Amino acid sequence: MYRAASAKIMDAVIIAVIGLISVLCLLPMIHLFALSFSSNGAILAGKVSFIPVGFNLVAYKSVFQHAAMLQSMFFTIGMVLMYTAIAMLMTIVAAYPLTKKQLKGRDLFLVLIVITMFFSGGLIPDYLLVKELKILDSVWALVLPGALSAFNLIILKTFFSGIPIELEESARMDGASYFRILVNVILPLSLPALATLSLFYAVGRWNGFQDALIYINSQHLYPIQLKLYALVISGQANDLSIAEAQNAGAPVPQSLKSASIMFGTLPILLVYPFIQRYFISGSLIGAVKG
Amino acid sequence: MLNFLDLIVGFPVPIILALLLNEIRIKWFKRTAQTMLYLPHFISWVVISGMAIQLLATNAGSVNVFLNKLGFESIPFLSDETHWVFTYLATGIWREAGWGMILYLAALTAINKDLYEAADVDGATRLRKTWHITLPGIRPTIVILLILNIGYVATIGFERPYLMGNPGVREVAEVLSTYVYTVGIESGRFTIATAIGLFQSVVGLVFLLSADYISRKVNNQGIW
Repeated sequence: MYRAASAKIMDAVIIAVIGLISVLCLLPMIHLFALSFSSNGAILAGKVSFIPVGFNLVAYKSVFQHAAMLQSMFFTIGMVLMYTAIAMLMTIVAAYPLTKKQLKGRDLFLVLIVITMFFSGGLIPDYLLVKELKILDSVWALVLPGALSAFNLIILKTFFSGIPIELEESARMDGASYFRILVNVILPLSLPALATLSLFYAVGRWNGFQDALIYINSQHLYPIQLKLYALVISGQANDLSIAEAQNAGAPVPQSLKSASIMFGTLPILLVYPFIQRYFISGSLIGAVKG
Repeated sequence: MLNFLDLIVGFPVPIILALLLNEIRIKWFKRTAQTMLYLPHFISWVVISGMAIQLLATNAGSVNVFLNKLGFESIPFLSDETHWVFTYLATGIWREAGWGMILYLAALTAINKDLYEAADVDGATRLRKTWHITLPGIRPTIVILLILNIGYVATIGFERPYLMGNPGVREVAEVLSTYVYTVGIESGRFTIATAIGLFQSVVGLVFLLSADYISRKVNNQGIW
């Protein structure tokens, strides 16, 4: 009797702890969400916690009216799509041959690829390379250097290797070329892995900041993260409100910054519930190799 | 320095989370909690730093406004060096702990259920089961991740210190990677910055290989 009761208490404690931690993961987002919709007076008076007070859309209105912000958003979306397409193409054509035992020098290639995961020349050589390639301050500086991730390549190679060799052999009997096999046999069987890796690439690119900071100078090539950085962190929020400085209804920095942050994070938050299980399965494919 | 603290403080958290989550039997609760715990991993450092500034700034940060209302003094989360280190570590855990948990959860499902039944028959308490069955069961995973993390100690992290840092805490926020950036890109002294960057890579590799070597000696288990 005593045992069962103590076990129940233990259960309750564990649930409470996990519940608390989970909520902690969301609270900052919810708070910013509330701030972004609240009226100036309520924010300055410190009345806003997790529910918008004095609901209004002024902050979002200024974000959406900010041409550079919208432009940066569209640019980022386009850039992420292009990057993901190129990166997936590269990863697929690199991973497939590496599953073939008869490929000469396969082990050497693999070692060379794995080394890049643990050792790199560093920031400056990368920068000089991009500079010498004459792609500094262009969209290619964001797309090309990261167009193949060694980690994702190995995940995909592992996945390809798991496809029964018999399928491929029978396709070869029927006279299919390697290219045909890749497109008609291997890829259709790998859709979950392909979806996961595309998402890895896309989210990584969406959230990427460092390379943009280093390679990009022109305002019109600012990806959304760099834009957010300029607005929210290095304190140029005034940029946003200059247009409305004369306007008495201009939102206070808090709600403006919150709205910008929500604006830049929204795409991720929107797709997150639908894609999170792919992420998990993907990260586990990677784990199995160990 | 920051990275070492990160490793020491941050490494056990996902393990503890996974162990706790593993004890929960209510399916929907477990799933919801997992979803919420992974979420921060997909938020960029830019946004996290932005949020940290909004929430924790000494004057107008929401947390301090709240504390003031309750009659407490403001806490200089971002401007005092000691506090800043704590804030820095906390944001790291906030973002990555849930994600790090996934691998452990996967490892947990691989543990033979018979072991638990046998322990039940022997009358083992829950804590003893965790200690004697669960932890040894995921030890290989823990070791591998520890080795990899040690390897990354010297290399990781430009964005977080760069974005979280501010002039007031430069002393503690300056790490090798941000230094390389300041010296190399901002001042254009490529030679010295390249040397530092390469040094950083070499140190990282040495860490990784020695951690792997030690683990092979002690545990008979390495990453390759």
